[in-house]
Amino acid sequence: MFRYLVRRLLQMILVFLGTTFIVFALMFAGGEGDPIQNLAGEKPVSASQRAQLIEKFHLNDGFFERYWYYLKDLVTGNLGESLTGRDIGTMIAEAFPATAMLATIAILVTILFGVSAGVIAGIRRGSIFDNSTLVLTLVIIGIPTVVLAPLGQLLFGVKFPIFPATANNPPTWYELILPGIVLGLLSVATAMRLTRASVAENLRADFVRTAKSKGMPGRRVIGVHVLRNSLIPIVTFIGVELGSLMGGAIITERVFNISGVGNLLYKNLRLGDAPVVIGTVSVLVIVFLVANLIVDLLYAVLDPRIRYE
Amino acid sequence: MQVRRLAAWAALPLAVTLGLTACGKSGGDSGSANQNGVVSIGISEPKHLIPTNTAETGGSQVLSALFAPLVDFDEANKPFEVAAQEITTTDNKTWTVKLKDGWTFHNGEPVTADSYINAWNYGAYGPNAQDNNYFFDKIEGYKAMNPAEATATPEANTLTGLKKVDDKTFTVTLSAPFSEFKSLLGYTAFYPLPKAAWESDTAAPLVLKKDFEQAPVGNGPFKIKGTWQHDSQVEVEKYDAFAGTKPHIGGALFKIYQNSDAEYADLLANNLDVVKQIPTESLSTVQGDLGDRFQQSPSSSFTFLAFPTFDPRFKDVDVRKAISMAIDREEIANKIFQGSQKAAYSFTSPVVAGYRDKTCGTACEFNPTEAKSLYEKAKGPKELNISYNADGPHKQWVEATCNQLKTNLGVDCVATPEPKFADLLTKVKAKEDVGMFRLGWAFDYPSMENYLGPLYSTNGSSNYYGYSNPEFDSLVKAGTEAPTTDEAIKKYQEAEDILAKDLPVLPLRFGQNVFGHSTKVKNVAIDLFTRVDLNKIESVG
Repeated sequence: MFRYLVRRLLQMILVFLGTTFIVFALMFAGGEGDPIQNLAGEKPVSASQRAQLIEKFHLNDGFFERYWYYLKDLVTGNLGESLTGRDIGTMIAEAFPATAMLATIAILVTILFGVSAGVIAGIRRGSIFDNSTLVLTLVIIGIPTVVLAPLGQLLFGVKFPIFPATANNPPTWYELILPGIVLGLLSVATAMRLTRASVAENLRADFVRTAKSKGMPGRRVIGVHVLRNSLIPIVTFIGVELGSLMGGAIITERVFNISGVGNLLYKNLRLGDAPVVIGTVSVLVIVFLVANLIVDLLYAVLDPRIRYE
Repeated sequence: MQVRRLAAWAALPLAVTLGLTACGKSGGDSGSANQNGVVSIGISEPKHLIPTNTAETGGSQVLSALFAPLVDFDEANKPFEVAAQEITTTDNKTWTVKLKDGWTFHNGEPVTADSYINAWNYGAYGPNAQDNNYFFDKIEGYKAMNPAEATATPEANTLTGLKKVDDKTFTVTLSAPFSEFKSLLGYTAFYPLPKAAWESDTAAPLVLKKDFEQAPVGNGPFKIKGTWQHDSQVEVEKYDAFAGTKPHIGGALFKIYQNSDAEYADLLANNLDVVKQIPTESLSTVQGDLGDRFQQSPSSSFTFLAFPTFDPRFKDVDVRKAISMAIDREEIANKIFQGSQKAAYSFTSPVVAGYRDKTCGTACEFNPTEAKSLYEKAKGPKELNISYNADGPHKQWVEATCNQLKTNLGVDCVATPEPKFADLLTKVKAKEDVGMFRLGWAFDYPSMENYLGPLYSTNGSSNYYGYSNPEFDSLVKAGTEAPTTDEAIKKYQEAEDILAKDLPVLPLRFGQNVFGHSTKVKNVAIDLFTRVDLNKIESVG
């Protein structure tokens, strides 16, 4: 187990270097136009202002030199300053809780609706419940978030104000319920279908037949033998989903005005504030990697056949 | 015990009645103003909250609460004194600014001549890289603080043109006479800063405290409550010792929005009092949503199409004129912008003194038949393209303009997006083939000069298309040096007439502020700098 962990951590460092290198290359070397003019909008930029910023952000240095500066700062835990002079670490630290809360609600929604509906549908395959949920998930998959989010806001935030239309910063849990549901609905369909297939397959498995034939009560057969084994692909899915929810909530965060990581990323991509984008992506990569590691470790807990060497 | 219970029972109906009357008040516009009410106004996240570094509307809205300007503008857009007692000059070159007595910063520090001199010196010093640096370029000594060789250390760290006379008086000497200087002083860049803003107020050059902008100390009607909460809000409350005209509200909450649709949704849900810009997509429904709480007022923005001088296709003025005549400005303004912009037939905006309607003449009048014959006679190019930056809301109208050119001139026209405005500028500077391109302008100070000088002078700071006409240059210069405003306007108008002949750009539209408010506020007005006028707004109930 320990050796496995060390090996995984070493792999993570390599993946981290690789991904940040690609993002860095895309942001800086990919013909980013003129970041200083971007910053000034459509107003003219004075020569001395330009010179100051170029020097501060090493804009005239070579690509590898700049990547080196970035890595050096990163190792010391310094994500640098945005083009407007704010500390990027603080910016991310302020945006992170909102997104984490939003992702938590989304995951809870996924588990509550997706997994439980999937289990029922899997057990009662072919029933009305099974068929109707299948149609419902098709509909939900068919509606993109860009439609679902404003629609949810208009219906439940403005026309029938059950929930607040937008969130404050920092947001309360209550303000995030509606956007959380919208975000969670995206993965509900996938989670449900995954669970359904997995449960159905396990119901046909040899060990379930054995358990049944030795007279084990049905509740116990499903609870211990079917569910526990069905959870493995779902845990993988949810673990990876948590990682992507951290960064993928861009549309939902924008619609509901949540000052989270998605909004931070979107805004600074638009502004061309490369230091912020790279810093945020670096943090997201770490979150993603850690989520994946936890998923892999959970396998061993769920499936006794899996042993790490 | 008994008495207390009795009081409680008595208080209940009283409280209910009070509550009901309060409700009744907040329902209509006719309710009396609440002097202690707090109004909430939607803004975008400011980039900075330092006067010399704030150039966008979000930041300047907040600063307009925290600071009082030397001059503000009346209904006719003429400057009048606010923090200044009087601003005088005899030759338009040396200006004497006398400050009003009894004015203090929010920390109690008196506002003195030094408060202005220090702030302006800081803003003008090149290495401080302030966004509003170029506003100081008319003051003597600016060049020495901003060397052409950008990396060189400037020879000077103060403007030679700023001289303190006494605690309440200072003089500003300009490098050349400039008749509009008083108007210029109404801009955000010219607010004063207290001693508390500096690391040390005797150091040269001055160093601003790093965290000053998190809680700026100003001389305005409101002081900041707490600090600037990034991406969330800035709250201000009435400053009791303010010596100027007192506002009618107790404070303002500037709520920061990441996108305008969310802001509008909050207005509809009555969670927000003022939205300064209704999103274009919502304009078709806004009348029904808000009724008479939806308002419009002219803004200083001006949209035009530019012809790069390096492109031989547009060398012939008749080609430019034909293109202009083939564009139906009214149709685009009404169909795409739902009347939230007005078709432009002049080069200067209706919001400045000296504006005349239709200075562009026949060249801007929609006349497809004449346009086509003129275009054919002048042998205009068979293929046209219009570049625009895709990070702004331009795709729709640029494509509509192209379609009009296709139909009315029988040419091929393509709308070419560039990812960002900066990319467009980079291409124009590199003289790449961009075809015509879109540009916009919002004034820095209400004057005709600001619509002419920076945009069309040979060395104009925003003359991206390379237009140059010595006669035009000298007329603008004559205007800025004219002894009176009326004489200046005459010169500017002559200069504008040259533009109508040369057509370096095509005027398309003048912007409008389209704004809305909740039932909890009244007297909402947006000033020429796209800021909610905090002196007028009132809280109801």
